[in-house]
Amino acid sequence: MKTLRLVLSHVFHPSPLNTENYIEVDRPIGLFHIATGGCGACGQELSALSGAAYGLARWGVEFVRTPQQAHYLLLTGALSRNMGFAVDAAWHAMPSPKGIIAVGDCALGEGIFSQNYATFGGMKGRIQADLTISGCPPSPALIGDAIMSLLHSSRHSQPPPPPQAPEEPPPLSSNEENSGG
Amino acid sequence: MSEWEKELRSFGQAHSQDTDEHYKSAVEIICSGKEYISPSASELNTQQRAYHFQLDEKKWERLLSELAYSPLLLEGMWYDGSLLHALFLDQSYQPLIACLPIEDGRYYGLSAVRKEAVFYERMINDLWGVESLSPVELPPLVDHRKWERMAPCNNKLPSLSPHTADFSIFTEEMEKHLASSKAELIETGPADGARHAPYALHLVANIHHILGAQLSVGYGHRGMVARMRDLPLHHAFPYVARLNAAASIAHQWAFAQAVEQALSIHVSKNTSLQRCILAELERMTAHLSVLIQLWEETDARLLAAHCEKILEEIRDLNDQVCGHRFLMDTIMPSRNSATFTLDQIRFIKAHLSILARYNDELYALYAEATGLRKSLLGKGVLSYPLAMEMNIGGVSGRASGRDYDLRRSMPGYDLKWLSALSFPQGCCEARIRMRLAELTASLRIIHAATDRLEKGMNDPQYPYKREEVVDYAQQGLYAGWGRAESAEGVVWYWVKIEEGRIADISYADPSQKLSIIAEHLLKQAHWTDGPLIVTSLGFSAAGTDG
Repeated sequence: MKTLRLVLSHVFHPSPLNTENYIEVDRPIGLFHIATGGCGACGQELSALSGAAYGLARWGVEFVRTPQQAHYLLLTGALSRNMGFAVDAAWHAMPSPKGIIAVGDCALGEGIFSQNYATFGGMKGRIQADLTISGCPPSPALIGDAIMSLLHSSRHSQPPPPPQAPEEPPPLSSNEENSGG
Repeated sequence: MSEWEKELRSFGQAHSQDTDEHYKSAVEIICSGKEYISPSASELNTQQRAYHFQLDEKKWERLLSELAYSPLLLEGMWYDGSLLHALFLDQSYQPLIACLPIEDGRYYGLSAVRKEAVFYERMINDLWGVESLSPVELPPLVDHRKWERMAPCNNKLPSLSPHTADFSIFTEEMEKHLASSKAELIETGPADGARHAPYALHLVANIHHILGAQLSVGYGHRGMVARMRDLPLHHAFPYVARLNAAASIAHQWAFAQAVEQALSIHVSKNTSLQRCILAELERMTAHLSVLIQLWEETDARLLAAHCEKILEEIRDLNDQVCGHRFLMDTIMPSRNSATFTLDQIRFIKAHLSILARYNDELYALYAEATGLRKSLLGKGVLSYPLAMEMNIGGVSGRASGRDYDLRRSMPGYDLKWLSALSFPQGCCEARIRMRLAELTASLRIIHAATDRLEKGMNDPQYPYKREEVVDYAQQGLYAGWGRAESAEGVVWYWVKIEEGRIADISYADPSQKLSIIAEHLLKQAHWTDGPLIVTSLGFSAAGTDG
């Protein structure tokens, strides 16, 4: 009975992700998430993406708890001034090659939280992201598909340069080629 | 007998004669003030009693001395540029607001007599530079000295640059513990890779337990009140809906009620029923989100996976019925933007049976996890007296023995649908059981509400169009108060509308009080249980924005 239920659940509940175009990653890809001031919806959609309903971890992409383990810094929220230092610190703590993913309208500077005394109004013109995913909030399927497309494209591009200690602290942007990959 | 007294007696406690007299005296002092809103506006709202009074400094001081002995509940404080407002609840849980003109940037604070006032007074000081004269230490709350100027909402003050040197998040008590050689500082956040809104937890602990705790919020401060003030009425809705994603419907409903009360707008039965369905859908998602975090904290992956599947089913249902997975932008004054058709109602009902089956499985799984339940018992106990004193509602209040559920008096709900659920333990396990019980109750309520909605499809709906509301709001000065029950407690809004614009606004989210409660509960707990206790309360840092 349980086997039948398992088979039926696969037939009637296909993965909500567009997995046909997904690639197997050679090594786990770590995402370090920072919520920078928002309602929390984007964070909840990221939780859903990593959870049992979407299972992004099965494709080798997982959320990590320290920037040292991360390949990509994943930012949500309108970039509050109080969180600016944390974003900066996390970025500098990440080993190269690395990249930035901005998720949600607030992070892209397209949401309702424009610049004021408390926020920078998103990353627009301030942080250059490798991948931007709009939506308020974008659905887990949309986020998952976009991240897998980024990994797919970075796999087919040039190999990453060897990590070098920068002479000066790099700006908070990911203009390195083949970032994250 | 008042609501409050009933609640106290149900738990075997009773008021003394003295406290009753102090309570009456405090209410009399507030009501002896000048009515706040001008008579022309009050005349329009003939159905509502006056509840907002302006006091002079002498009366304010007398009120403070009475509050030391009176059990009048403080629900919030805010400043509007010239007046300081303090919102209390009387014994029937109805609002009573006292306001005080501030002339020299200082006032006698309520934090000396009310623990919860600490949060509001710190916020007022950060945003307006208006200082509370209080014996209690009031460190900055949302101003982390990263802004371009201090007191950003107060244009009357000279533009002061922030002084980073004077910023310390630690209270004197924590500094004292830290100086002890046996205590260690354990810190997490605000950027710890978690998916929740940012906050930091600073624990001073020895090998046995936590000696002092500080839950720092304000990292994700967006300046919500400053954004909404002076906006045309309808432009404020997206902000209200996005204040706290975990309680979006509760915020929208409370705000809509405040506007409806201010403008004396009638809401149809069907509109209220639809709001009730939306609120219960949101309640389920809120409980499931907290449960997932708790299972992750306790390494109960199977339970987490089960909750994730149910949560996704509900979010998908929300999307199909309202076009938004978090039900944002669905409630407006006098109407809902998403109208349920007969097909949609049947679609919801069809989904309910699937959700009920999943829910039963979740319950059975939790019942089998004896070891997990045992490990959660007795952790983070919120006592009944503290829950009562600070008027903690929602899951945390009911899991601590309180019998308070605002839904009993909210439009759309039927008393028959709401069973009296209350557990006396007040620990993490009781809060989890309460969440599981409320999941089942929400399914039952949605079923009953959809049945009623289906039968009454032809009832009159939407007496006002959006343009009519806007036109009406432009004709004068109005003020209103509204509230709604979220999963974690009561959300309320007070709004003043002047010529179609928001002249002033204030709100409360349960997380504001829960941040203070969390610090209390963490003391004496083992330091490894810190995140678990905070999560079990359903605390959301997004809700503490001001």
